Amino acid sequence: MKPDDLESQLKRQRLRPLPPEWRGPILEAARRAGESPAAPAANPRAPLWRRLLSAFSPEAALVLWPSPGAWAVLAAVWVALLGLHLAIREPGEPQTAAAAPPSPLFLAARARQQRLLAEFRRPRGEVAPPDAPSLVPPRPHSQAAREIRLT
Amino acid sequence: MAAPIDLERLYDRHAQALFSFLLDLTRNEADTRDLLQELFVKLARRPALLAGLRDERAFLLRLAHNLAIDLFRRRQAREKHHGQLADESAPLFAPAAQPDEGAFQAALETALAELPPDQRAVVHLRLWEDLTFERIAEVLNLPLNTAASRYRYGLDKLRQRLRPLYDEIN
Repeated sequence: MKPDDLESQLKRQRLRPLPPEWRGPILEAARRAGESPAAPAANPRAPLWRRLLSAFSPEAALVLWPSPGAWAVLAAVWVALLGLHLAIREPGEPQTAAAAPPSPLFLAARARQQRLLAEFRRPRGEVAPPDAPSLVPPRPHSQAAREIRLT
Repeated sequence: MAAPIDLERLYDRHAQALFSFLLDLTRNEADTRDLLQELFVKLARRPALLAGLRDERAFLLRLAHNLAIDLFRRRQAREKHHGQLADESAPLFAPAAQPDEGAFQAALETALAELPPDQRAVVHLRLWEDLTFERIAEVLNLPLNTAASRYRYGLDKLRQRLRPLYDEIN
């Protein structure tokens, strides 16, 4: 079988005709859709927000338009929640609690960490400066770590 | 505002090609009808889509293909059977006059159904829309070489599948 033989045989197959009874309903549905509010170009009386949204993104407008009531309810709920939040807040209440000052243990641990880091960065052969006196008495590492975690 | 479009003219000129293409992709008559209607509704809602087109048919085929892909994706999300054909497999070809021809058509429909949708789309556009690979690449938004290779792979599979029957009836 030559390739061209099969191709020409396939091309000769007659495709099934389009059902003629589909024409009326499909065109009618299209016409109705063209006249519906979903078509901003065909409906200059569409709300301003929708025309603006359509100009920016027709797809977004088509998504939002079918249920404007639902979006309105969602917006109302959001406003109600915002109002509730403002109403239950104390008048002089600060937005965030002031941060507690760091504990001496934390400061000591941080200083040790910085010393270690400086030691790693120092070129080979250079002598390390003596350790600064510790702010806390020496203790087992596990105990110090536990205390740091607890603070 | 875009000028109103002549839906009747568009339908009469292109609906047959769109129907065949969609039917080949979906193999389901109800889906094909829904997609065809969706396509015309889209055109009616956004007449600007058709403004300044150099090839109306290619654009409409592309729109039809995108709608079919969207349908497959919705199905995939819902039923996890992307690319698979519906249980009902609607006939793609007109009834044949000769029994041999009918048997060949039936085998061809089965073989087409076994092709991946990507290859099937290219094969359909090449064989029954007589589009060039350049046009097919535009319609399906593919590189030219991909369109050509998909056609070659698709045709090879059809040839393997149909060879015994073809040799028998010729």
